[in-house]
Amino acid sequence: MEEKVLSGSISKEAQAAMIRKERTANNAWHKFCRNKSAVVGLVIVCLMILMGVLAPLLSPYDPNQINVLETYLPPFTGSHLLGTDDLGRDLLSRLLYGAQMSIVVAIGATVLGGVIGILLGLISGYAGGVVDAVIMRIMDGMFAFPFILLSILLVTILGSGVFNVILAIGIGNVPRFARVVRSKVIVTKNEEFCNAERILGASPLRIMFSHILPNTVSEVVVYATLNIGSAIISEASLSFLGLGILIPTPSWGNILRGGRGCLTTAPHIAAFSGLLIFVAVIGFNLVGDGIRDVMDPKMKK
Amino acid sequence: MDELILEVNNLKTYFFLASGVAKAVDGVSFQLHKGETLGVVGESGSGKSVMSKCVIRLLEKVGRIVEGEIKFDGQDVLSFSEKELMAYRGQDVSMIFQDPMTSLDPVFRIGDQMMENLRIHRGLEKAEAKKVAIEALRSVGIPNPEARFEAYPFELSGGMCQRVIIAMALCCNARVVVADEPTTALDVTVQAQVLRLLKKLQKETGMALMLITHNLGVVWDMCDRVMVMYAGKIVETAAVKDLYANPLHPYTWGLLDSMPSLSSQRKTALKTIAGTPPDLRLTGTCCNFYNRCPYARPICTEQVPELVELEPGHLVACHRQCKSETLKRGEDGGNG
Amino acid sequence: MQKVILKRLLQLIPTLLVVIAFTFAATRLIPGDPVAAMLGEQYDATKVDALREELGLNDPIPVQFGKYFMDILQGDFGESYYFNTSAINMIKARLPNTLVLSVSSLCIAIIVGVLFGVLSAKRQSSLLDYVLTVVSLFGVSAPVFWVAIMMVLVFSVNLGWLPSFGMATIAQDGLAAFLRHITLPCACLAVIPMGTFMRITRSSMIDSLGSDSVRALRARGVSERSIVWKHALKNALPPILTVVGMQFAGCFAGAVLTENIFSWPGMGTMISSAIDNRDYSLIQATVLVVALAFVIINLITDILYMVINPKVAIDAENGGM
Repeated sequence: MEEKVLSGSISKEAQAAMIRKERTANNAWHKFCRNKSAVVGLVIVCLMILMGVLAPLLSPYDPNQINVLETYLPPFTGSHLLGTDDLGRDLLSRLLYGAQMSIVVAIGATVLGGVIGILLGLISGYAGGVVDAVIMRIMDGMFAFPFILLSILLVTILGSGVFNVILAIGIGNVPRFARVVRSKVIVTKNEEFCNAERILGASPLRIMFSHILPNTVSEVVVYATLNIGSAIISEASLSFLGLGILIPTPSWGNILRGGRGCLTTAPHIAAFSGLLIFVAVIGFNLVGDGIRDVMDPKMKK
Repeated sequence: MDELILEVNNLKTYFFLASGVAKAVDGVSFQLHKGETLGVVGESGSGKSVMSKCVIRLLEKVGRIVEGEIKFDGQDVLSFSEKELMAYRGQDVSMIFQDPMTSLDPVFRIGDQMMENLRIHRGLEKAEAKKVAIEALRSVGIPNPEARFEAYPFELSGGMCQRVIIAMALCCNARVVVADEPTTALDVTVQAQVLRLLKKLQKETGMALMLITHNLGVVWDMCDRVMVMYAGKIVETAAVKDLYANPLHPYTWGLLDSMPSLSSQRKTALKTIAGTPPDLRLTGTCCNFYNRCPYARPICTEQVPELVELEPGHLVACHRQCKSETLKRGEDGGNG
Repeated sequence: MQKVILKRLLQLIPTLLVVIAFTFAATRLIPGDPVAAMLGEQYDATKVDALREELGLNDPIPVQFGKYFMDILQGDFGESYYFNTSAINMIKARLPNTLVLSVSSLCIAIIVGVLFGVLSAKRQSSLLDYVLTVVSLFGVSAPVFWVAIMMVLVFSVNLGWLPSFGMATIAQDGLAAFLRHITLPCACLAVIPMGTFMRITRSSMIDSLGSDSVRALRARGVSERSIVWKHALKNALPPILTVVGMQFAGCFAGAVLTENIFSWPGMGTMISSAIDNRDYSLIQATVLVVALAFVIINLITDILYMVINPKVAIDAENGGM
């Protein structure tokens, strides 16, 4: 046992070993890896991204290839691993391409909402006063809309399509990001190092972007990761209602919508597509929780 | 001294951490008698708070009592069931924590909290409990107790909250009060008032008081006996006047030297003890103080010093203080 | 306390203004002609003009907004094009059904979620805690529409235990039929809020169980049951309450998807048929009503917050908030 030795004399090695042990224990990546559920989440997320990126290579069939002779084939039989849908299209291929769509929309919406939200939060928190009041009242107002309803409203007006869905979900994300960033900015801007910068004559823009913004990173990363999960659900919800990504372009939501119509004849369509959404969201939630625990165990949702 | 109330024998409390086992309390023994005030001094991390938590069995999850016994009134506290513990805590032994503001539940009225205690420990009915509680509030010097009874903790000052907590201990007729730095979080002027109140109540009720502090001045004013702790061990224990008259352990000397004093017109700068306390994961094979001790000898790195009684009631744990050798302060200043 | 409530009411005004402005802007300011969108394939010039005039779309924007705002103040939320009735009447007819569904599922979610959350926190890092944590993760991650479909598949199609669609009223069909019909949609809708309540209760309870005041209560010999269910839980309530407000809105939104699947005649089915019929003003009115309800619910939770923790009210009075 190392701790048999007393500090100061012979224990240099033991102490060094202990310090090394502690440092490794505190390293963010190691902390993340020790959290088993976070690792599971990361694996899920990576698999999902791989599915999307490699969809053209992995798909055994063209996702839109119609074959009226082979409709509603059950899964795990014959040449179609996960069976076929109402038009005889290969479900596996459609799901792989659907992953692509989900990733594009979810990440796109998160980035869009994130960028606008961070900017607004930064300005609002840093400027304070009237600017803050105006921006935050607007955010409160937007926040009052249940998320899915806001997206529904926007998509009905903007019309369907990938870009509009991203826009609709992204706008809905703005107030959340703005709030998260603003509260952190307010804390940070009053800290000593910011005052020091101010005395040294740094411009507000410089302070905002090179000093305050980096301090909000941990909150933003955690929030964004969790948000990707909910954006996947939002996209699927919209598509499920027939508003988001329109057929024939495959997306998990509209495949599920299709599956709902033939629940008795081909339950596997709804089961698999929904399961993928479920698992993907679990993945992002686990990773988000994991990062939050690493960044700051005290930080709350 | 009369009747023995609390007895702790060779208590060892270890914290099991990912990076090793920290020996927070490492073989502590002491006795507490009725009406007595025992002071426990030491710097932060010396194990005094952990020891006090062991006394009421309120350790954090990572900590475990690995050896030793705690006896209250002859009963083995460590073998108490959950139910016996509930009766023991609060009724037999009351604890006063450092921060009075966080020692009361913030979302319940003071009266409700006091009445809950009276119901648990004395089985009083509501009306009766209210009467007793208000009386207790009055006896700890809270003005207008009827109104305070209805107040929430945040509506009271820190000193008032500490009085409320003392009142709770009082109305459950606690026989031992363990006060863990009860005045550290209070204003200087209030500190004296709270301590005086404790002293007065102790005289009236005959309870035993264990006062944990890092303030030697407080010990001088309040205590009968004092225990100096360092790195989980008792290094010296004596009656207060003996300790001040004839301190024996080099660490105690250091503590006394680092105490600011208004009476002595000392012009020299306040002394400090050089170095830092050892890592508690690495103690246990030698004298824990040797690396900060100006009088250290090779033996100090080789053997753990035993606590020996050099004068009646005056015990010290130092290789250089024993029957055959007496070290004088400042003598062969060693390497320091 | 009254002062704080008054202050919150005043703060409500700009929020409401923004909400109304937003629904207004959604239909008027976004590129593209709403009239063309409304008419869709039946687009022709004369109709467009007539409709524009009828809608007042030829007026300047501020005038339009003024009109819209005044109409809403008078309780006129516009007309449904498809059904040719006032939107507010349609909403009024559907609202109770949605309320029954969302309130009952919210209640179930709160009871189950808080109970499990407390148990989880009480036995932190035990097997029970682990299982409950997984359950709550599944709950918050579940796509509500998929859960609904799977429940229909299992309980209606395969097992045939419960009806998969429609609603029964206590007055006409009796309590048993009512319960049989509401069970599935209610269970689905409760899944997500239940997960959320479990998580928030767990983390909030862990905080309050680890607080100094709980340690002091233990030191005073208060029983573990009283510490957990009385003291710690009351201390842990504020964040849970905040979530109640948010989840109520969540349930409402979730109802849009679940009602649709179970053909529950509430606002959700109304809004999805409005989507199918491109009935913009009905969608707009529904969204607005729900948003207004949400704002008011949040106000109520804020006030409850102060009742539970009087310190919040004092802090709010001395600035802050």
